[in-house]
Parts: sequence; C-alpha cells; structure tokens
Amino acid sequence: MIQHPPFPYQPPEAELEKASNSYLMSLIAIMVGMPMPIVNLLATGIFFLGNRRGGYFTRWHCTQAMLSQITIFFVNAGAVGWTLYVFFGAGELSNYYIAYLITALLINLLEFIMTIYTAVKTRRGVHVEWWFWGPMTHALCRK
Amino acid sequence: MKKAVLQFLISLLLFAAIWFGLSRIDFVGESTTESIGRETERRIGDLLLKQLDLKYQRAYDDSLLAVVDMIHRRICEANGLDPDSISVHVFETSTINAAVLPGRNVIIFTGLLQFAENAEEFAGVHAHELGHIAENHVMERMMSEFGTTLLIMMSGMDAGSEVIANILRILTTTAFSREQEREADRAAITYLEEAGIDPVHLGNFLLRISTRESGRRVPEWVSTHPDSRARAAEIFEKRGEMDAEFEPLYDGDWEALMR
Repeated sequence: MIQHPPFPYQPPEAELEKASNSYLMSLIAIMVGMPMPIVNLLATGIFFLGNRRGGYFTRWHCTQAMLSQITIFFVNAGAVGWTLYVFFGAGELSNYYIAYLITALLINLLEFIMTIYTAVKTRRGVHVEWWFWGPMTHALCRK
Repeated sequence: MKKAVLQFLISLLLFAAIWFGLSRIDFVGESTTESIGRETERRIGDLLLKQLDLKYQRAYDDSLLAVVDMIHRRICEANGLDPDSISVHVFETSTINAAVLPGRNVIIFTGLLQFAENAEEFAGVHAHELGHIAENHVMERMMSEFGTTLLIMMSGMDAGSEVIANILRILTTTAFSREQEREADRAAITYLEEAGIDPVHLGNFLLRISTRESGRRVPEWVSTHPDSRARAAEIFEKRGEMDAEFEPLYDGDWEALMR
C-alpha cells in the first residue's frame, strides 16, 4: 500500500515543507470534504497550481496528493449524490446504499491515515509512494 | 503506466468486493419481515398474476387503460413514488374489487371501475392500494399467514396449482388488519391531496359500498375492506380540515368510458 523508494535527489528543506503541506492541505479540507467533496479537490488543486513551478520533489507530492483527492472526490460525490437521491428523490434506502456509504467511509479513513503518515514522513525527507497513485504520479509528473 | 492501470483495476475490484460484501448485510431490513428476499416476492407476484391470467382476460380498451395509467402516474409522481416500479393490471370481470399482490403489483377489476361513479372515486381506491404497497402490507400479511418457508417453497411452484389458487383467493377476498386499512387510508388521503384530487370521493365510495353490504350485488371490495362507514367518516373529517380546492381529475365522460 505504501512504499519508500529512494528519490533521485535529496530535496532541500523548503521543498520538504511544501511537499508535506500539500498533504496537510487535503487533511484540513477533508472535514468539509465529506459532505462537500469538491472542497477537498479545490484545496489540493489550488495548492498544486501554486507549486507547479516548484522543485521535482514538491511537484511530485503535490501531484500524488491531488490525484488521491480526485479519486476520493468521485467516491464522495457518489455518496452525496446517492444520499440526495434517497432523501429528496425517488431513491430507496437500500442495503446497497448503506454498504456504499460504509465503503466510502472506509476509503476516506484509509486516505486520512495515509495522508497524516505521508505528511510527517515527507517533512522528514522520506519519499513516500502510495499504491496506484504513486505509479500514476510517476507517469504524469515530469522531472 | 502499465503498473498504474493494473493497480487501478485491483483497487476497483477490491472496492467492488467490499461494497458487495457489505451489501449482503441486511442493514435496513430490506429482505422484508423475516428474511424473504425481494426476488422471492417478485416471483410470487408473477405466479399470482399468471394465475389471474388463467382465470380472467386482461382489459384491452386502450382509452380505459390510458385513463387508469394517467391516474396512476399522477398520484405516484405527486408523491415521490416511481410509477414504473409499480405495475397496474386491469382484468375484465364484473367483480367489484381491487387488490395488491406481492412484487408491487396492483390488480383492478373492471367491475370496480364501473362501480366507481367518477375518476376521482377510482383514484381514491387506487391511492388506497398504493398505500398498502408503500407500507409493505401485502408481504407482512403473507409472512404472518404463511411463514417464510411456505413462501419460499411457493416461489418455486407453477401457476395453476391449488396452493397458488388458494393464496390468490385469500389475497383478493380477505381483509388486511384494521390498522393496516387505516394506514392505507391515511396514505391515500395524503397521496390524493398531493396529487390535487379531492379525497372526499374516496369517502363517498366507501360510504356507497357500505350501503351495498346487505344488497344483492355485494362488492368484493367490501369483504376485503371492512368498517367502510367508519372509515368514510374519518375521511370526511380529514377532508373538512383541508382548505384546498380541487379541479376535476378527468374531463371526459367517465360513464361513457365504462360502457
């Protein structure tokens, strides 16, 4: 789920702080993001855009944080949309709906733990790559 | 990128597995009163409909079916019910009856449509039957009368068998509990008001059939819906508390339609 491969260079202190902040950004927004998933994505997206000219380490971690938020956005948007459909539309309170909510909650919880862990590790200069989002970031983030 | 795609697919599968696994837990008591599934309910409903098809012809008058459908949709759409999730079946018979079958099916006999003096009276009866569906009365009743085991066995039987014929007879000729009838009445009043249909006509209908209880042609709907007079009085009382004005539901000639 989480790997610590060596990074091509030892990032300077300023890069470590920005990389760590990219995770903290989504962490702060996650509280609001459960009922309004777009907030998470916006917060991380704005931080990503602000650092797109930064060092490779910063950009790499901003990209990983943003990609994870995009995924969580779709999962949470599904939960919010389904909830609105159940309570204000013609949707029924079903086992599938409750199961989806629990699954979404588990994913959010896992992402929350991974985010805290990664924010701390990157601040200390340890490069952290997540399952799926790590390889995706490698494919998208140029040196 | 290949690694990312592979990991994405594995994550997706894991997500689906957790979701599906959790959905097997009965959080909302969806599988009805004890543990009979929706699928079983639907199968029993289909069997009972087949049984009805063996006994009666389906109504084929397009204009009549269109009016029934219009009323059904109007009530459902005004009350957040999906009209397509409830099937309405009209059968040609002089029997004055309407009933609910498992699997969200409403059956209406043309005798009842002819007995109704206007579209609003039929709408009242239909709203009442929709109330039984919304409150899941039919499965509650079947569970208490037949039990889970028999219901599951029944779903594997064939139409035409004596058991199915008997169950159909019970469902179409015997009553729900008084409490269930009152619940369905309350739901009907709300449904009708939301749909802009005057509930007073349901009261009129109940009152009219109650006066026929000792008559020559006793409507079967009486035997399945007891206490008609008292229930009509309750409906009139509720109607008195409303200050809404209602437009006529059907601007065509109802009597001509029924001929």
